[in-house]
Amino acid sequence: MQQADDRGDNGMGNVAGEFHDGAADERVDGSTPAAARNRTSDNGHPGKPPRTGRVILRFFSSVWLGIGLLVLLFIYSSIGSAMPFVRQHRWLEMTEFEWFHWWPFDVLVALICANITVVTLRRIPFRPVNYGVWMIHAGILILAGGSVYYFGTKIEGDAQVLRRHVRIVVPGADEPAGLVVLPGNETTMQTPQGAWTFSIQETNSEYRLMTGDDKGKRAHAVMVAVQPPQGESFVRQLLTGYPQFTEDVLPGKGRAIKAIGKPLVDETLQLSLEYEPQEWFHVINSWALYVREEGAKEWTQAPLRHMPRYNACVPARDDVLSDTPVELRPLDLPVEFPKDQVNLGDATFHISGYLPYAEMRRNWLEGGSRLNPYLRVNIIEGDASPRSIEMLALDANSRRALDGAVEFRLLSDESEIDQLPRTSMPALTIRVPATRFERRLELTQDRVVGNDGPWTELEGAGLSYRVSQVMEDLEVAPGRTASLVWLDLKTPEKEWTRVVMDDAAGSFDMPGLGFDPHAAGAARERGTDPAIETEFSPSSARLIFSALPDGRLHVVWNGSDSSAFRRFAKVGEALPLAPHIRVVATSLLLNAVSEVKPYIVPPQRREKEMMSQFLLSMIRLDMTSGGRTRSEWIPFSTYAALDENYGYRGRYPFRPLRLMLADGRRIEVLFSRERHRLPAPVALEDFELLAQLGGYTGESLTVRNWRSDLRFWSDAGWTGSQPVSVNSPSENRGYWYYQAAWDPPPQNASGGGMNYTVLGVGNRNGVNIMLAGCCLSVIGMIYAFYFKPRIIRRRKEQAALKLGRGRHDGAELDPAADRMALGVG
Amino acid sequence: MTSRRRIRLIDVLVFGGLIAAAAGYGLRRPAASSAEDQTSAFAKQVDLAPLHKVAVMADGRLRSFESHATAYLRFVVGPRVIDGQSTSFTYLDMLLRPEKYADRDVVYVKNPLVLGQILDVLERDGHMEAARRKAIEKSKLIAPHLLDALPVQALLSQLSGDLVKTAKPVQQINSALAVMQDRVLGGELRLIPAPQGASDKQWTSLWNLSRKAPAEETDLAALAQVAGVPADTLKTLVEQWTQLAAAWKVENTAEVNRLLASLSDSLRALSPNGYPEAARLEWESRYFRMNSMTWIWLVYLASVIPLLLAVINRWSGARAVGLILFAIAFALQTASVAIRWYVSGRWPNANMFEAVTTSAWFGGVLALILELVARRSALKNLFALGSAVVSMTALMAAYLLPTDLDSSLSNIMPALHDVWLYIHTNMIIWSYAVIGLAAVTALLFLRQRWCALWDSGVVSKSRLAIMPVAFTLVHVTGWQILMAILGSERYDLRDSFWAGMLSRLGLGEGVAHAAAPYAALGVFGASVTVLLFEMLEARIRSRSLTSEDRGFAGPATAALASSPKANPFLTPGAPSSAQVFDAATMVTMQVAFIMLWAGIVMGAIWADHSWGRPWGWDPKEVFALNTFIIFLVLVHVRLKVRDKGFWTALIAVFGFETMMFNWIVINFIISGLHSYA
Repeated sequence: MQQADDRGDNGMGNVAGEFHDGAADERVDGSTPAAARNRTSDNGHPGKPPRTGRVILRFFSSVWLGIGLLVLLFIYSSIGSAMPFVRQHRWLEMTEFEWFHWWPFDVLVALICANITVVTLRRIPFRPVNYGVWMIHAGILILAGGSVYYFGTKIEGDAQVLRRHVRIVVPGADEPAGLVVLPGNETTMQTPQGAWTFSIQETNSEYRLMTGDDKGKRAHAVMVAVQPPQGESFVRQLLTGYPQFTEDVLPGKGRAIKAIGKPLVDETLQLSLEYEPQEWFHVINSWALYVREEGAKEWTQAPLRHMPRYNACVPARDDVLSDTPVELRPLDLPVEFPKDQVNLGDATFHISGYLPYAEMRRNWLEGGSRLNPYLRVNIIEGDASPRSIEMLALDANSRRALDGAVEFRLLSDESEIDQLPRTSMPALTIRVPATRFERRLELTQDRVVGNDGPWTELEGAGLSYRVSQVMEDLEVAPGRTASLVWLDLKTPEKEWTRVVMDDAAGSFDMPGLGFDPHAAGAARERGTDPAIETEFSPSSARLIFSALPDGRLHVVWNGSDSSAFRRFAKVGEALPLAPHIRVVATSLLLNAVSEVKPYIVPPQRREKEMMSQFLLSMIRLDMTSGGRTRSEWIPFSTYAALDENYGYRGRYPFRPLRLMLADGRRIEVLFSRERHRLPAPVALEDFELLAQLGGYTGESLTVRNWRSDLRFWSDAGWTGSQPVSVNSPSENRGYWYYQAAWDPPPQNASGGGMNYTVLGVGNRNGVNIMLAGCCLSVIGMIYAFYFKPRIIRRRKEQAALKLGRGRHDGAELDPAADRMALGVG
Repeated sequence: MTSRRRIRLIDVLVFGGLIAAAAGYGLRRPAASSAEDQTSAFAKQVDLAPLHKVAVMADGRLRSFESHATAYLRFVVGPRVIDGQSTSFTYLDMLLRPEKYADRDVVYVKNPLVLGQILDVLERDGHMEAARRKAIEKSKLIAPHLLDALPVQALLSQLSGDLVKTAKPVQQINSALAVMQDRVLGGELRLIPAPQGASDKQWTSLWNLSRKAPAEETDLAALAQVAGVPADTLKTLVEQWTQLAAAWKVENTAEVNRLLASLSDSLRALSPNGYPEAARLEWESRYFRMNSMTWIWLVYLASVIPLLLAVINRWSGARAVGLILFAIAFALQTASVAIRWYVSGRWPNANMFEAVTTSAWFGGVLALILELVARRSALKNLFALGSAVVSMTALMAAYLLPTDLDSSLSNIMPALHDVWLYIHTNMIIWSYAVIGLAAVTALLFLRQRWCALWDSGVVSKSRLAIMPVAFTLVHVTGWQILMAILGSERYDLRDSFWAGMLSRLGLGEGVAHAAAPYAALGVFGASVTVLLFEMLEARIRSRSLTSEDRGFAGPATAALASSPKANPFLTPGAPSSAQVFDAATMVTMQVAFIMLWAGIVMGAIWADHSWGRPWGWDPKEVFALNTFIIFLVLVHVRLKVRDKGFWTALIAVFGFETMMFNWIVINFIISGLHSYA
């Protein structure tokens, strides 16, 4: 009875029988040899395969094998997806893509395909009742075949396409120059008359035309600041697509047409906007090393294979800085540049180290040949981790820290300690020698009233004053700073402005009402009225560390009265500044020298975005040339671009390393991604941001879409404009171009940005094969689930009629009728 | 027949317990936070109705004031309600009387580990009494001034350095403090329409103008020009706002109500053409005032109880009550989807909240169709029950976790503007709901099998009693362990329920905390072993069961056929409960199977033209495929095994869990490209 039940289950009623003919299963699993022989001949498989072949066929005919393989596939995918640390382990170093194209995965899929094929051919007769299963299985095999073709030939990357470059034709220059249109870019051109400097001041992608047929339309405007060899600088405004509207703007005077009556200051200077075609795309998740001779334009690349990706490879502890002990792991990958493309003499290259996330950091050591006091202090607020500050007493730029609140000085001897300031406020002293008047004014915030503020009378001095502005630490020359006060003075006779410098000798008066300091035959061109003497002592740090030549450290804290102190301190001693704030000097060096090494950023401080794109990765390159080996770390550069003008002020880091070969030639080496030539150069005609209601506000939610209008180079010149936006790619010569990234306008700067687009580039061979397989399997599923049971039911009823039993009661199962219905009885 | 009508203790324990826990937890939450009795008389008397017709421009949308207030205040108070006040009232109150909130516990700190550290610092410095600490730990609300304290700021700056674990919670705290600033609450309250109804221009903040507007009329004219409003109109508006602020400060209710009404009229009159319809704004306000209608889960819950009785005990009276309640719940949910569609102007499936709620609604649609088809067969009630459970769970999740499932309305990101994506996401979320439906009937099957074994006496009762316990423990500890591995920033096994349990058993506090992870692992391991062992035993056990109890009764589609000849389920009483549950599972499973596969294929078509590759091995894609693989295993296992019903049910439940893993863990913890839904 049990048997009968079970057979009934396997037969008509088998829901899974939509896929597989249940009775057919039995052939392999447990039917008699005679029955098997009969059926084999029925199914058109005459003759016996050899013994090994039979074993293999039997093995692949098992549905349980398929189930087992599917379970393995489930486990394999789950590990790859939900447990990234497995594939990222140092033994594997795989991206998701690599994990899912690794040989175990390929073998698994191949076994599943073999299983499906054998099971379908051997155990599922090709009859209407099984069309569904056949379609599903065939669909999956087609999908798998399409995937092999698709992923086997897949190439995918990205290409940054800039909108324009400025072509510069200068009278007297040998040839025109080009300047890539990205704000901040600058170039200088030498001519017999002197040097011209051009810089991209700003761009505006939302410029509205005010005249002409296209009045009101949007245009891309580029402002180029021009500094001619002689004469005043001006700004030339260029409009993409509208060269006729080019005009100059004079600083402080407005448009040239209004200021000097003609639109261009210098008509011999020709600036025009030209396409900046992109010929390359960079492959995602790839590595390559590039080399070129200094001065050359083109890079020669050597793709790097078998590189680590997620784990550091450090050859020696001294090579890096790290907060935690570094596990040493050597790496030795030879790099071969194609000899026919670049001549590097006898130089050989090896990669000996790799860091997935590191930044270059300066490390200070004792041992320099000259006096260079260095101090590192930790400021500890509450329980927070200490904030470390480094200062160099003799370097104007790094003498102070925390916006000037902390300062480090070098004293020549102990007597200078008394001269250290006792307050941190800036102060102004006004003296009138004639009346022996003297007043020291602390320049608190309310004393600085601006140049239209109220006057304050100095009783007994016969004059009034007004402090209009205090300016501190102005860089007056490279490495030199000065502080000054704009002081307005008024006596009954005259009213003028004095600039009081911290270095009193530099102070001077400016002409004012009834007063010209230079007219009265003053000895110096710039001087001050000697009747009124002024002195300015700029604000000083509240916390002043001073090093003495004997290595002692003195600390002045001009905090609130209760906490203020002036005393010597030791390195490592905690000095309380306020209830929750302590300061500790952690290192004092008198003759400090620095070394720059990669610092391995701890995992908890790594930014996901940077990490996923390996933007802060580095390799250590060993170059051997002329018997000497030099090792250097090279940080990653996003693109193997022509020069740093494409880097957009660090947004796309471009950090080549300069080396010298044994024969004296200089070369540049760049660590970036592998690049491929596009089938045709692509230019960006226009790039538009389509915003939501209310315009773009800097929030991503206010972006509706972007549209890049592309033009491709063809034998007949540039093609017509092909728009690309999100979800709407464009094709050219077998490659598809997708909207991938963009140049966002700076916060709240309408019209800024939009100087380049980043396109995803890739091929998609065999995508339609895969799609066909998927569609076939969907149709098969619908057939198997919803049509097959009807066919079976109808056959069963017919079979029951034929058997003459006339039983139509569907609720009762009849194995004999089932088998007839299925056509295998 | 009597045995069918018997109410089993196990049902009371399992279903009753689940329902009571859900209802108790769900109902306690708003009661704990809303504190109606604390609502001030002023808050009760202020009539904010005029504001419901006022539009605010934010994030590229024009939304109603209530919607705006909800979206912004969620950054501050999270899921909490302050003093039982309406969101709009709290928003205006925070803007106009910020001093009132400096000392109040209003900032929601979701991450318990970060909150604990903040409280430790405050307690150490003597700023925190034990009672207040307890209250803060319970409500997770803390006062802004406590967060501004120097030691807390130092702690937060230290925590923000850890980008893996604590940077995000700290960022949330900083956002909350930033949003509470008047320059955000006021500055982002853009009430004055752009000049000439321009769609590419920002609206202007009346609060900003009122602050800038000096006494001199000339300057006001300049401001008016910028805002594109006639100077005298602007003057009136500024006056109204200033008076409103003054009246609000002194709680002059009559004056506030008058000014709100006139301000609303003045604002709407500024741009009669460019202003959104009053009806749409009012519906948007109403929708948010109704808490995004997520409370419908209670109506679903009310329908689940009679439907369960109708299914398990076959009480026809319960069927009618259950179906009526289900129909009401579904109608309400349809209304909620429709309102959301109407006010946002797009089909609601663009974020996690919408994906979850719309998915549940899709499940309801299919359930209604299937109920109609199967109205005379033994399968009736099962689809309604499945859908009611799925919708109840989905809406309850949205109701209880409003910060994770944020119901704010926003624009869809550029990548989502695509017809294939539209079909893909709808197809996938629909299939998810159907997988849920299948899991409900699969669980009912497992329950039926358990009862059959209990009645047959083949297995000892103590072993049977262990099974549901092990099943529950596997899920609870499995989830805890998963969270501890993948979400260590907010969950630590050492602070889990097991620590409390161990300390209650007499272990010292420190030892209990240290041992808790091992306890969880041990319980998990033991439960898994028990279940695996029982699964191996199931094969032998099933031999003792009758064919009826094994549950298999023919192809699933036959169960839906209309002719009694073709459909064994139309014969009253003929199929066993197990057979009914199995057939229902397979009916929904087949639909889910096709929809999931078709959905994945459509997603690939979309990805191909959006990202440049049809398949990117993104975790979400992989786990959608994994769910499908489970179902592939299911249909093939069903083909091969004798005890079809049992293995089908078991794998269907596992498939559902894989799908939930995809939705919850992958979305919230291992977010990939699909992080929006």
